[in-house]
Amino acid sequence: MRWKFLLPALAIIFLITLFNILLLDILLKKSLVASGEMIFGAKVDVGSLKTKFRNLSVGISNLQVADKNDPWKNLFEISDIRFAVKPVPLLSKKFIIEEMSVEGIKTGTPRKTSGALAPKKVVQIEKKKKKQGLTSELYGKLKKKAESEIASLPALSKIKSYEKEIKEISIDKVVKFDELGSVKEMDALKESYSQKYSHYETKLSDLKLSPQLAAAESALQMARQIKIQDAKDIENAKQVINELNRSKQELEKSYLEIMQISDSISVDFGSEKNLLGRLNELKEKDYRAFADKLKLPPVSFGNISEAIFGRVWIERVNNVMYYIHLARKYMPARKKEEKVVRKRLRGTDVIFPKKGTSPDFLIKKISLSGAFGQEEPLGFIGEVTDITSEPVLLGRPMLVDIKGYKGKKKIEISAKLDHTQSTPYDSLNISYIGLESKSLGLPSSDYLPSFEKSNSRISAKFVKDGDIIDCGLNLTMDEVSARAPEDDEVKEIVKNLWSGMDAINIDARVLGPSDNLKVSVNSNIEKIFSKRLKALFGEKIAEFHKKIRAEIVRLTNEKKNEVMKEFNSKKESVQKQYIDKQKEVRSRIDESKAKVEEIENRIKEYVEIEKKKAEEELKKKIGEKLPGKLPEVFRK
Amino acid sequence: MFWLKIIQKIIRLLHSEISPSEIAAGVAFGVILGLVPLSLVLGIFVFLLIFLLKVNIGAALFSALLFKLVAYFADPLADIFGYALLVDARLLAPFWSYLYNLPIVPFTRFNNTVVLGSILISIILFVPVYLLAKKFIIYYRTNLKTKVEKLKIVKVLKLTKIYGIYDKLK
Repeated sequence: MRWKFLLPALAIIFLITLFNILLLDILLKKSLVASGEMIFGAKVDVGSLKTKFRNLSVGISNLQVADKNDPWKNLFEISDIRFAVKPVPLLSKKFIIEEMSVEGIKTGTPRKTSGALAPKKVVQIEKKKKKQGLTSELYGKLKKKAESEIASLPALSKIKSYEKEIKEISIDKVVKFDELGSVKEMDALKESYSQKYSHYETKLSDLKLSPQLAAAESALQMARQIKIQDAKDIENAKQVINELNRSKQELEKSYLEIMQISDSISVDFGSEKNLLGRLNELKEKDYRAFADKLKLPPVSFGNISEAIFGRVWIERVNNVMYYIHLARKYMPARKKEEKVVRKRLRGTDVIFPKKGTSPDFLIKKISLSGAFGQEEPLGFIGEVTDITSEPVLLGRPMLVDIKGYKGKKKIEISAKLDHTQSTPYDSLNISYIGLESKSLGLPSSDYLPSFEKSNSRISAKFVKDGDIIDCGLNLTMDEVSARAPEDDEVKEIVKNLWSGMDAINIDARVLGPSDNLKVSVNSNIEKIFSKRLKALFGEKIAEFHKKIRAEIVRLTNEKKNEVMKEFNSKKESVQKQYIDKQKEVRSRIDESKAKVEEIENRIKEYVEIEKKKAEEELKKKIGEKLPGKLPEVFRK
Repeated sequence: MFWLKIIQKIIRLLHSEISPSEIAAGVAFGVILGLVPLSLVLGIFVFLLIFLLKVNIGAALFSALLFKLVAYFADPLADIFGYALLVDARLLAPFWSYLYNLPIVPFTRFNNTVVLGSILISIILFVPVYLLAKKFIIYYRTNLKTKVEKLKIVKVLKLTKIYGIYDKLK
């Protein structure tokens, strides 16, 4: 043993320790800045960091963390952080903090210098993050999707084309005589009436009425000449009667046919009223066809909500999931019997927690106080409990509870990070009434309204149960105001669409396993836009519709009159022919009938006369043969 | 120049009156210093041993430098050994757990696979390296010392200013 070396050795060790202690504040500050910059991806400034060995306490003042999305703003700043590490557990490399106080938290404060990191540093951090598995690339695709949708705003670009279409509309161009279906149909109708006329004319001639009428006339002629003076004449008269009856029968048959055809003519041609109805129907059909050309196509605003709120929503989800990812890395969930291993240096740290002992790292409670917002800050207080590196050993989930009220403004944030079982469960609930809408970071575009005076009511939940993500947002923004008048007509239309819109309601969701997330953003904007756009263009469209109707009436009126004329003339003409024939046949039938009756009467008269004559003669003959007696017999 | 100085110092050490055991012990401790990624506590402990025991500090530092290069290739092996001891060897778990929950001990970072693996490798190598180094020094001083002194390069090195000062002090 070289005892003489003991003192120098101890002196060297003492000096090394002293050097470390003296530089501890600087080393801790450097380490705090480095880890902060890695986590938040932006500059982290620490005003001062002081450690006291007397009570192992640490005090940090003026901590500023820049917003990587807006380098001229701080994501948050904290004026004072104080905590003390328990000394005895520290000997066993256990960092136990009973209570930490974090005061003067402010969000979104402006920065005097840019908070963006140097490009070289960003690359280094990204490399380091990738190595340590801290990247949030998981949701990159969703981000890209949202970005492409905001870039296009296709529904609004349609307004431009509607506007152009309406401006270019001319009645001459829309309603063309050649394209009128009704005119063609009217021509066809006219043609059909001519055909019908010919058809019924042919049918009339096919009845061959003239020979029948001639035969009847000839029979009547014979009947007129007939004289019944003897029995021989009776025989001739009977023949004439037969002839008359035969021709009468034929005429009656034809008469019935004429009657039937006359009825079918009425049916076939139809009534004038029906024709007018049909012509109006044709015109209406034409009107509908042309009006359809001017119809406002169905307006789909399905992507407006996503375009406006999609990116903001995805970014929020992405941020929360990133911090949950960090929490799961540094506060790992595991099965109770499972070893805790962490990649460190070139190897792996294996943790041997002992039941009943404290975890390696534990902050039992953090008391928070600060304010959200800039113009009208909303003060809040809250606490975070049980932040630990070994939640399974501690057996309690980490809880966050923050509340703030000021007038109508109210905020409530609660979170539960339960990594005490093998499947971690993380949830974050935010309820904020009275948030300035402009602080939501919504995209600015000429097509969007101003959110300057608007306030929001937010109800959001972010849950990650194992690998399943379920995030929901209900956002209501009131007093959305239209922007100032614009020279651009389309922008003016868009301005009108937004004006007077009392509130916008948005429902957003992200659901599913992290490798197959489904994103949806719905709002009342689509419905309101569609209604307003229809009303806006509807008036102009209605005017054009009236003009179309008048133009169709003008173009088809002449043709309509022609059809009506043709209809009436042909129908009347053919009907007249049939009626005339009908009358003629009827008169012949009646005449024949009368003549037959007349001849039969004359025959009867002749027979009676002849009968009387025969009786007289018989009396006379009997009287001559039986004189005196027969007259008495006859007298009796 | 750096390597030249190193060689010069090694030759001087071998040619000195320092006992072979002291130099060999230094070389053996150098294995620990070189192979094990030392934490503050473990480092202080090893240096205290080097200071307190009759160990040549120079030899320990030269050896540490050499084994630091070896460590680059030995780390994967150390990781495997360490993992086997810390995770796979379930029988040892209560022992590690006991150590882990003792004061100060966790600061040695023995629960890291590479640290424990390299401690194991250096312990295994400690005695063989000590014996080999001692044997080599004795052999060198008996058979090679005069031959080496006659080498031109050594003569040149002897002429250097540093050697002169050293010679005077000797």
